[in-house]
Amino acid sequence: MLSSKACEELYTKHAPGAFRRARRMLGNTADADDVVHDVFLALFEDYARFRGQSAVSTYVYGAITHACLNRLRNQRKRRDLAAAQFSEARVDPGRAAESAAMLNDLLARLPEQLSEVAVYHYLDELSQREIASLIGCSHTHVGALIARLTQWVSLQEVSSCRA
Amino acid sequence: MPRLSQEQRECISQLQVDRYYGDELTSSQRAAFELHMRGCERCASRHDALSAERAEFLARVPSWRALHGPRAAQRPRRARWQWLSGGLALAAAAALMLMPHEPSEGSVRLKGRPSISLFVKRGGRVARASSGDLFMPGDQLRVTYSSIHPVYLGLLQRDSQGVEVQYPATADKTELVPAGRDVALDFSIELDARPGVEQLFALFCDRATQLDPVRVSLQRSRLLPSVMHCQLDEVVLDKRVAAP
Repeated sequence: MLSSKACEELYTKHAPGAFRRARRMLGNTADADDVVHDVFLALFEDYARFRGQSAVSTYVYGAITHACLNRLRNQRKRRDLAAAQFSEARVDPGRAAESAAMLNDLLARLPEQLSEVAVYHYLDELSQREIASLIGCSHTHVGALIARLTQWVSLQEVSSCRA
Repeated sequence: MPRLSQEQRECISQLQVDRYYGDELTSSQRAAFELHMRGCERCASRHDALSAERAEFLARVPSWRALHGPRAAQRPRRARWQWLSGGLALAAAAALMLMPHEPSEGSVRLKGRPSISLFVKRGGRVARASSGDLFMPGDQLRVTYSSIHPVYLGLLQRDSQGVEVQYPATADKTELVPAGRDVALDFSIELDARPGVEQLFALFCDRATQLDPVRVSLQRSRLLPSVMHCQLDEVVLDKRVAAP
């Protein structure tokens, strides 16, 4: 079990970034606060098992992403909240609008691994190498996953045009 | 502007910023990060925004130790600390209605930029006042400041007679004060009988800063000057004579 001082230090270093990502994914402060709290509580309670497996930021990125996606699924709010998340993203407006629509569909329908990659790629705007380091695979594989995402989105656009 | 290598020219991602704050970058990665920040306006701007978000979060949310320290009975939920923050804030406000308090390191943190507030005593009653409120001759004002960090503070007042340094009383530079919420400065201001608008200017600086150039600048212009290494706050007092 970590000391109170060590917990405080890790929390101060990593919780602000975790909260920023959770709020962008969930679209509101209260839910983001809950997710961040739960993720850090789990980390500190089981720190001995976690220690050394990866950098804390890697663990926190993954844990926050999974917790937020689970919460979105459970609440069945993915579709309408995703657009709201992107309204806060610090990217140029044209790209934000395009990305918001994409993420809306992606989070609503994609399997777990692809939705996780979608969050890192579209929301966090991470490089393929960074995504690879977070999900523990090669950046070539990440490239393939992003290609699948892009292809899927293109198919959705075509089908929505025909509808 | 420093010359950057190809690697250093690559813009900084949010993950890198988070790893920077998490002390997870190697010394060479850290140096490259800082060099890039000095040479890339876009990244520096994003970094400033992320830093502000970090500060806002840490100011808003109670520390982990406050939530899970020895006095925390069991696993707290959001509702618990929201109530805690609100309750303590109300309690603090109620206490301040009676007497501004001294700085302390409580579990409730402060949000946002450093600021000043006013408490006005009129006819034996003390109340919090806001910028733009109406005041009356004879009102006694107590100035408090709030800051999440120790900061060098200076306070100037403009009335119809000119601009004067009110704090610190015996020094010509801003003075280091501790972090705290609604910390009362050790003087009060009694408003004279002349009606009109008065202004209080507070300088929150990250180093000791000469106040006389600021005073001279404020004598010449009603606008807040830009002072290096300082954040400014202003309170406007609209002083009127009570109707007979």
